[in-house]
Amino acid sequence: MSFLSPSAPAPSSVMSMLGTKCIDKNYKNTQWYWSRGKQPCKSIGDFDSPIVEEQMISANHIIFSFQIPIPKDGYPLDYSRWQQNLIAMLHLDILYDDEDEVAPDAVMTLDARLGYSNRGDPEGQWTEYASSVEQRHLDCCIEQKKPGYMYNCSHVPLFELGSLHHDFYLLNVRLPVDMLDTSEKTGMNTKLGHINDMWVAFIHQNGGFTKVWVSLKTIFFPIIVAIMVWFWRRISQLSRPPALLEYMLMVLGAALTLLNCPLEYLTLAFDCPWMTVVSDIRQGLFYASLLSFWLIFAGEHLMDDIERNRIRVYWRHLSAVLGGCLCLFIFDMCERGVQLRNPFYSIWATEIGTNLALAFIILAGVCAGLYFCFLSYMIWKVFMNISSKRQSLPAMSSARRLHYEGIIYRFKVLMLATLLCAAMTVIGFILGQVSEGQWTWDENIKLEYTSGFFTGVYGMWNIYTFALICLYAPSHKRWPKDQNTQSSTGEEIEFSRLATEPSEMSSLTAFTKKSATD
Amino acid sequence: MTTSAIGGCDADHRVLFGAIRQWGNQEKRGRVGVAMGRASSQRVRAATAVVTATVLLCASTPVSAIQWLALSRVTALAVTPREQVTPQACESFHGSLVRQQVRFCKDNPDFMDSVKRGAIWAIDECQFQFRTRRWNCSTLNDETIKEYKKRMKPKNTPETVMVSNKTERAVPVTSPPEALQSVKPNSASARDASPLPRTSARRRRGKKRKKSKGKRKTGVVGLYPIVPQGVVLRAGTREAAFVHAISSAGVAHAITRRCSSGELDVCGCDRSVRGVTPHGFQWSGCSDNIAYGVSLSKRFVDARDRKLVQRNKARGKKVSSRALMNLHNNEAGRKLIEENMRVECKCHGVSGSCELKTCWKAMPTFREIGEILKEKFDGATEVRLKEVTGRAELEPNKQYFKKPTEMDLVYVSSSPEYCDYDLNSGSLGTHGRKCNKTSRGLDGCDLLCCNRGYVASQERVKERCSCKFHWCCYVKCRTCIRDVTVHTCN
Repeated sequence: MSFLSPSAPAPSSVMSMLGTKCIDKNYKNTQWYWSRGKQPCKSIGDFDSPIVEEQMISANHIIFSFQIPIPKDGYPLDYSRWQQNLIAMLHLDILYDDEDEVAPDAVMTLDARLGYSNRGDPEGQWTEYASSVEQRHLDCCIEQKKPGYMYNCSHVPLFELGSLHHDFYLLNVRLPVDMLDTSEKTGMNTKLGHINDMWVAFIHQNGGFTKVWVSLKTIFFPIIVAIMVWFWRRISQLSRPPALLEYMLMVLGAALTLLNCPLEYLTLAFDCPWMTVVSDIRQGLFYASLLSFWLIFAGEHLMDDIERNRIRVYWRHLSAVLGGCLCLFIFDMCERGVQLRNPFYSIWATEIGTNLALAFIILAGVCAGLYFCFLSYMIWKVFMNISSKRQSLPAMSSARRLHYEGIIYRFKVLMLATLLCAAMTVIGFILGQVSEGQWTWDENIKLEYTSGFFTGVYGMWNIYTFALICLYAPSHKRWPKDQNTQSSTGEEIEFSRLATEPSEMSSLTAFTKKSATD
Repeated sequence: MTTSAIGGCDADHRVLFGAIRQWGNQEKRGRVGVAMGRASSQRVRAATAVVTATVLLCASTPVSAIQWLALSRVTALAVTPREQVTPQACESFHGSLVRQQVRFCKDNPDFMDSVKRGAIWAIDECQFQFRTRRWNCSTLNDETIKEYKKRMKPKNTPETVMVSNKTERAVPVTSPPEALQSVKPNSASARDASPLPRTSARRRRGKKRKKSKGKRKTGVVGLYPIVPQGVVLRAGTREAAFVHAISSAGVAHAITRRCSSGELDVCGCDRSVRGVTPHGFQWSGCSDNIAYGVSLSKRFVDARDRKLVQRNKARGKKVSSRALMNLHNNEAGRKLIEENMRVECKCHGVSGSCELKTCWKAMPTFREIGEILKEKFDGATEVRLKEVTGRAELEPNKQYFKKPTEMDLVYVSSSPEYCDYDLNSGSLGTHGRKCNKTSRGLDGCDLLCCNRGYVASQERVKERCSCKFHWCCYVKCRTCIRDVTVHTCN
């Protein structure tokens, strides 16, 4: 997987755009205002322009127009469907003015419309995609209160599109104020200070990254499906019912298959705004099944003579996983789910929404903490048991001792592999964050951490799952069908003895039984 | 400066914002008919404004590295996004531009108005930052210099005073002796009284060349800051370092802004100027516009000095320290913009987590750049030329000083005192400048007037007061009349 990463560009890139200030004394919310091409809108360079004075332009007559993508190198660029999604972040350039400071709790009211157009459409024909009047908190601060200095305002999320289906987009934003002649005064947009410019950063996924990503998925999808079929055939050849861990492996494989399924190809043909929500759900399912697998994996190795092998035994631990995932799912539906209907919606825009979102996220965090407590406790117990059992090893016959030592060794190796994978993910994640957050201007060293991290981690977990399914598959060769007659100690030992590759879980349980009989 | 309000008048009245913000430049340029940001209706007029080669021609004086700043008042470079600068127009800039810059103009006609805008910003910012200093970044054109020389008696030097109005934006105000009405450097009327009559600005293009030839003898050049040349040779001073840095930053800033607005389709997509295809955009997106702005600024602003260095190297001559210094300071200005970009990030991973984070850069205001450069100006390093294994390098004059970084300003010769009028050293003197009696800093009367003393006089000033701003475009104000005591240097 990582052989692909050097060629892959960063996962996403940004087109930062300065709004063109269109003016129209007779603003109509059915009309579009664009800045390039035929019949562009009437625009002003800045608000000090004499036209403002001459024509008595007020805030309601000013439309900030963003026509994306920006042409470059003489080419009229257009968005490709490979670019998947579009996120817009709005930023205001507010100059400090001692007569007109930005209120600390300023709320801006945005009248935003998003339209699209495609290649081949007659020029100037824009179709409405979404429109909304939204409110956003303006979070601004300033260090040196000197005229000419700019407030340091945080970017506010404007909209998110789950699919980039069309070629060109046009965003018209107004910051309306109360009409002078109306009696009701809402006082909207009056505390925003001396706005000079409006910028919007448009973030889209890179087509190159999507291609690498989708080809990874296309490669892994059949492989994982094949190994699962093979695994299930092995299981079904056994006379005993499948063990809990085998079920868990199947669930893990299924979740990964779902994640691997290259649904992204659909976006090339159809408008799929639901794609981000679906990807979130797919990814969430995989995380949930992986975390549950580890729990059960550790639980099934607690060599404490308690019959488990049933999912019900783990309800307490699993509820932490499920609770966390459910919280995130609800949060996701509240944010991205609603965005399917209104791309301008943001849960963070309102007080209640923010609290609700925070509540869900904190709850999910608590669940995650709980889960890690459970997991580390269980793993610690497994290791304690192993070391206590190991002391009885010298009493065994040499052949059996070598066998069990090998089993413990392999168990530890697999534990280590899991930890390594997890650690690599965490390190990669941190590296990605650092490399993205810190801007290095040294252009000589151009390493693409982020996409390398993504493809690398994705491939790693695929291989990890593949290896698990391979290693835990029971064999039918060494042990003929007459296994039932051979064993009398019960299901667990039969099961454990079946493994050619002495799987840790099964062999270890066998080992405990043996040492108990010894 | 003591003030006493003698009372407000008029009840609230609606004043349009544009009219109120009278500070300088917008207004001034507006009057010449080439307002930056004057749109549509003005555009037509501006478009007809013919290339006024006359403003630019400078046959007599050697082209200084910052003479391109004269572009700031070229009427032909009005901001007319849909109007192209013709190759002939580029040729006509020969007085102010060197050959490479003229070629740049022909290659990138769309960017010339950004260059102009950058030059204007740079000069404005320079004048703002140095409004309280003895050297206040005054701009003079060659003609005015000549007139100075002709009429000047050191006693009644016309003062170039910068006072700041309510909004703290610098309004260069001059109160020259009556005899010098036509040579008010820096002032609004100086631009009006430019040697070019307004009618000629609208002359048809056909006549232009003839006209320019006729004017060539007079050798008029546009405004660019008077920078002291140093006593020895044309060695660069601190002030020259600042002007270079701010002007190269101004061009980078202006081009970046222009490219971000999407009005031009010729802006480059990747860091190099070469550009990529639409396929490249689909694959990996585009780089920041600042990268392109910086690379273009490098090409234009550095042209003269880079050529000089290359030529000297090729001929085996000694590389001039001034050229190296200019190149360093130009680069410092651009680097400062890049380094002071605000980095903004957005998390957009699973459920909006920071698993996936994208960052981008937002430009600082030009005022911030000016402020930082001013600090760099105060901490500039004196350097000298040194040959290190065949390569010419600048190294600190004093051994124990640490080597200046890429973003530090360097200079090779110390500045004059700027107390007295001496154009040869680039000093206009501080006679007639307004000073602050109570301040003990550089703008204080003692320091600014070089201990020559000062006179106090009463002035009645009309000001707007208790204003309330309404987005976008108007303010409600009252007008106050105040009596102020003004101190003027002898």
